[in-house]
Amino acid sequence: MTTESFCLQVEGLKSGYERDVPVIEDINMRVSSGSVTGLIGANGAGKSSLLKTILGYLKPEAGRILYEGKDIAGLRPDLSSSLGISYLMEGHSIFPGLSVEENLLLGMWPWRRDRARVRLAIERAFERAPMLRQRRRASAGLLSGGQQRILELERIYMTNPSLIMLDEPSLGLAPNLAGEMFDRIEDFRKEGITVILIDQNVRRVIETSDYVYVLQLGKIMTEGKGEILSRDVENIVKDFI
Amino acid sequence: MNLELLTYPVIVGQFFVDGLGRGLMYGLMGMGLALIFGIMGLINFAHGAFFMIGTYLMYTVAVQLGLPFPIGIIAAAVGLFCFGALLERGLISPLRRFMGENWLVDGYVMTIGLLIVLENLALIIMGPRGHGISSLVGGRTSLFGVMVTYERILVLVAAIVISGGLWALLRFTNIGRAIRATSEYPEAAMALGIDTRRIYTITFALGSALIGAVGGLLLSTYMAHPSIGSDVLLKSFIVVIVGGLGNVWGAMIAGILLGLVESYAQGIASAGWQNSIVSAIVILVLIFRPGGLFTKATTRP
Repeated sequence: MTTESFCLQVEGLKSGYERDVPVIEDINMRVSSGSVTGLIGANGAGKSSLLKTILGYLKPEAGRILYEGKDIAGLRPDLSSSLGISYLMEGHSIFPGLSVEENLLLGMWPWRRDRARVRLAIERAFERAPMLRQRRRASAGLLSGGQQRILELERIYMTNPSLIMLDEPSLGLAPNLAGEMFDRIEDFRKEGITVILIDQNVRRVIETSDYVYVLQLGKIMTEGKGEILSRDVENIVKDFI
Repeated sequence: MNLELLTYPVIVGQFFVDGLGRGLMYGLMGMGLALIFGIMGLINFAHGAFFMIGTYLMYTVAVQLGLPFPIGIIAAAVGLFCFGALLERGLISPLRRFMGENWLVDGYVMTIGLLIVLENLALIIMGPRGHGISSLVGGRTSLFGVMVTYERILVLVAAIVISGGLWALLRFTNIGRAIRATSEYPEAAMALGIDTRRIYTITFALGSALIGAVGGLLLSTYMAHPSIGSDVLLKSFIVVIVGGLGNVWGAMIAGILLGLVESYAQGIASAGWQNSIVSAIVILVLIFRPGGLFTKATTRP
């Protein structure tokens, strides 16, 4: 298989919050374009740190991160984002003091000078989520947890990203909303958007993902196709505990 | 203490006008400091020195070159904007990147050092003599018996223009939204493609331009002198503490309140009492509302 068929390739990646204290080490990962790739592991396994290193919050001490064939290791998050990588942070990442509409406007920051494009993108976001239109002038901090998640998802989707990295998207959501979140991930796949997914609902991650990496203490312990790993979910979860 | 004065409406009005004028000056002084602290978390101890540079720029442009005073104020603002941007890029930004989470403590120390360096540079270059002007605009008028100088009216107009301009910039422009977003959640701002380093530079430059413009505006009240910034720094700190750390509009309201308190205290009690009363207010605020009178609850996730 050629490099072009992978949206993202990670080779020998090592990084951490302090020098010589790696949180992830020797990570090798391939993410096929248009696929959903799951990352599972116990708390502290290094899943979020891996995503933060890919986007550029953490500087890698070693290794390469090839995004669409270009090495982006060490690139600042704002530059990685401008290349088409969107990142939904763990917890909420809205700006609570800004209005719903201002949050969406900031989502289009790289294209801020193209007013027509920005307006069109916001209009489409309002069509997909009419609740946001109704509350466009309200402070985003006044939305419920579920509504804030919708705002965050629309804010990253409106930029037409190639790669979406979701860190615990269903955290804190009611079961029906969490279900809708996974339906949305299916929609992303159908549209050809590449997704990397971390979620507390391990079973759902494995079922949703085309390919899954299992992390333990900063290293990849197991990997495989979602459908194969799904037969062994119970044992995988037991291993975490 | 002469409380009987309060029975004369004209005197009460005069105290009010004097206090309002003084308070607007304090508010304007505190806004730049509050803006930088609110967005970057940095307490800029060199704030007073930036004011001092503003007064010198105003003096050079408006007095030595003989250009109209609005050009002097604009020159002070533009000069300090460029100076602030250079300082942020050259000193503060590297400090933030290399010192990690503890950079703020180093930042405080660095701005104290900057204050000392700038004051001494001014002493070497401009000399120990003060330079000033009697007034930017002469004359006065009477409103219901209360004497109002045109200079006071100028300060009022300037306060409205500067505050309104800053509000509009933060509220309606892309860069303003990015500044507010960065102050609330810098990591999330970065994930959207916002270059937060550039935002910090612009913020610091903007805060510097604000105090520079105020330095130019107040040249007739505070003459250009190497150590004139100390008093300005103290007043700025007071309004920022009372108004709420990092709250730009709180600083303006606190400035007006303190100006009024000073004016009435000075008039009813005697000269000198205003400082004791203001100090007492600061202590009470620190005890009962340590976040300041107008601090909003932190809503950052």
